[in-house]
Amino acid sequence: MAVISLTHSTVQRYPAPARRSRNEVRLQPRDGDGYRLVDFDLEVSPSAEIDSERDYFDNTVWLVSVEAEHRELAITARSVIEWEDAHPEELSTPVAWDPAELSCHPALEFALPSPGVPRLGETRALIRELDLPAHPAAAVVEANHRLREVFTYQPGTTSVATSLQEVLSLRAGVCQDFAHVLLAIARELGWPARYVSGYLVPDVGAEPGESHAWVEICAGNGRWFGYDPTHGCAAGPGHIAVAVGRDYGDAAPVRGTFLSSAPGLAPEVSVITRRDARGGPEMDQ
Amino acid sequence: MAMLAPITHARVRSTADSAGLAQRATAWFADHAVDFGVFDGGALVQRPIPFDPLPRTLARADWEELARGLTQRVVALDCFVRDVYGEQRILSDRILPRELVAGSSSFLRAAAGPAARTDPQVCVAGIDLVRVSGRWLVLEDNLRVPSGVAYSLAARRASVELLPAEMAAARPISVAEYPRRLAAELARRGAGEGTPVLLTPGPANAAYYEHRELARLLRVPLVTGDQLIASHRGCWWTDGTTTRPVSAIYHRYSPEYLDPVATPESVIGSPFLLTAWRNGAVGLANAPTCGVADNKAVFAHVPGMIRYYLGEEPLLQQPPTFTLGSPSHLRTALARVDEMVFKPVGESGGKGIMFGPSARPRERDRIRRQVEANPTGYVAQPALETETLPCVQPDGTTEMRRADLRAFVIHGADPWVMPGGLTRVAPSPDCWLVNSSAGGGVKDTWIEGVDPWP
Repeated sequence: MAVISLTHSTVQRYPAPARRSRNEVRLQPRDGDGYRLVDFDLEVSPSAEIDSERDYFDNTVWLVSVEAEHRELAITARSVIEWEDAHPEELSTPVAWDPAELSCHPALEFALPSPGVPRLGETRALIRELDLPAHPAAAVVEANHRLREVFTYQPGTTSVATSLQEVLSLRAGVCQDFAHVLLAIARELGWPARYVSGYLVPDVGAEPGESHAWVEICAGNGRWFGYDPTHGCAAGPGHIAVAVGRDYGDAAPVRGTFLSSAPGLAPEVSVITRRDARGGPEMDQ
Repeated sequence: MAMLAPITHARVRSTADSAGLAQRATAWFADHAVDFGVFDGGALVQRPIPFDPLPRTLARADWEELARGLTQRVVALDCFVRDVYGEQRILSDRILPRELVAGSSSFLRAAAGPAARTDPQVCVAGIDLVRVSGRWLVLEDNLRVPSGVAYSLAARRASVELLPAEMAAARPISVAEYPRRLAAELARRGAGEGTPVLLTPGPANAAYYEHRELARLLRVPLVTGDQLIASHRGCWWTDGTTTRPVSAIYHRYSPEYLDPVATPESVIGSPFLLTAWRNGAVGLANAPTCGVADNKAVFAHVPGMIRYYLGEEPLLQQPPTFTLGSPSHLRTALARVDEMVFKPVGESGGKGIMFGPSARPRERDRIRRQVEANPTGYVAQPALETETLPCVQPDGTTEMRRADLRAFVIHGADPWVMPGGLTRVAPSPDCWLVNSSAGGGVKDTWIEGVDPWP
């Protein structure tokens, strides 16, 4: 067992005084296979009204309201996660759906187009280009492995406002864009697929982690399987889920509005991960 | 479904009298600025809505039967809204295709939570009906922001002044109870201390007259989104100097525009308004959940909802609706374009409606192409030869125009149907569309009161 401490800070600075700030914050990790959230704390500066609720997708949402004038809004989320080292290697492949069965299953909403992942001819063209195997499970596994061959990981080429269509034509982007492309492919192949935002914990301690995004596919037996197209691997040990949804729009880490005479600057985000391999009983104190 | 008694119209003695009446009716609506915004050269222009002074009269027994059917329908629609934001029993029992909810842009996931499952969600429902060969058929359920009631109340005030003798003879049931009923339901949905308000998108909205008029009748402040302050703990309105708590909001916003944090595509509305509602800190009428039930593809399944939730047979009938996502429905509808009306599923106000019977051959091809490109975006219904009503012309002659009826139901512990409603008439004899945004006019609707010959 290991204990992982995560500190995720978002600092938003305003060139002109801002007030009436309203934010939905999705930074609290969910419990997942092989890991468990044992402690969570959200710190906001300046002082704010803070409450939490569960959203439609069962994500924990922290509601942060700041009424008074401020020039900077700092939101820091600290999570402590207990993590099983002995994570069994996932060998099984997802069982395909009977389409009639899926049309009546709650997972259907993840198989349909969503605001951030519409149905596009470009997705079908990409599927033909990748020449994927006929079997839907093999096809999605291969698409996940090979997306890196045709798309370049290149921070700065896209933003949260870049559409799927633009990403498909740019053939470049960051983890969020890779996730959207795999979502589009998986849904085109008939899979219910959801967007996952979270963290990637490095294998060795004391290295900075990163905010990350990947994809989960719901198998015909209702089990979710994780795929990380940015790295071309299964989303296995080391992927800690924070929020899920149909696409980025449902799972955005911080989303809000404020009143000011000038737009805010781009938020500064940092994630620090500390892995403590000692773990075990002494951490219970 | 019983046949209704023949319609009796207010009798007007001569064309000379009629011409005078038509002029006074037009002048009354202009003097009272009973305006509706229509687009003219790309800009919204507020103009008096065309008002025809000859009222539509309905027999009381027929009305009561209609009212029972409307109540049944609205009660079932409210059950549906609460169910799809909760257990989704109707979907797991396969009464309604899951895709109609899961894939609907009107299924507002940001509204989900305990508030979305409390009874009732609907406050005001506007149900559109037409009469075909004496039989009422429901054409549309408007649950998001049903408008028109203030035009109906204005028509009644005009009738009192313009047709006093006819009013005295027919003694129509009063509609004056509407604002009191609405105020009571708004109070019942209120949270904590504070005042109810009416939230308007502002003068750029076509029905701004109605927003002002309802605020006046309800005796509540008329506010815009930027005057509201919401948080997860409450809601307030400010006029710049004072700030007061708000208990409930009668809003005239399409729900997806209420809160720009919940639905970032919206640039209007008030941040955290949905959050406040979800957390029980403010009441919203109608609840932001209601749009899921007034989608035109869901409409086809309302009879099934009535049987499922209430265990009753529908009292009101509706025309068959072809949901064009189904290949067999699409084939049937496209083979009979000249007999069909095609409606975009998510629109209202007559927007995007295509009438097969009045379309020229080239337009029919365009309809086919448009529907084939996006079949799930449309439904088709057989075009109905609906009832026509006499409308008086400026020269005193009358002409027959197609008409419908928008009935208003206030839902609550004791659902109530306004005795009357807004009779809408087409702008010309050859026009099929009665929507005010398409230039249609309005009439008063009289429900016979106490029998004048006991």
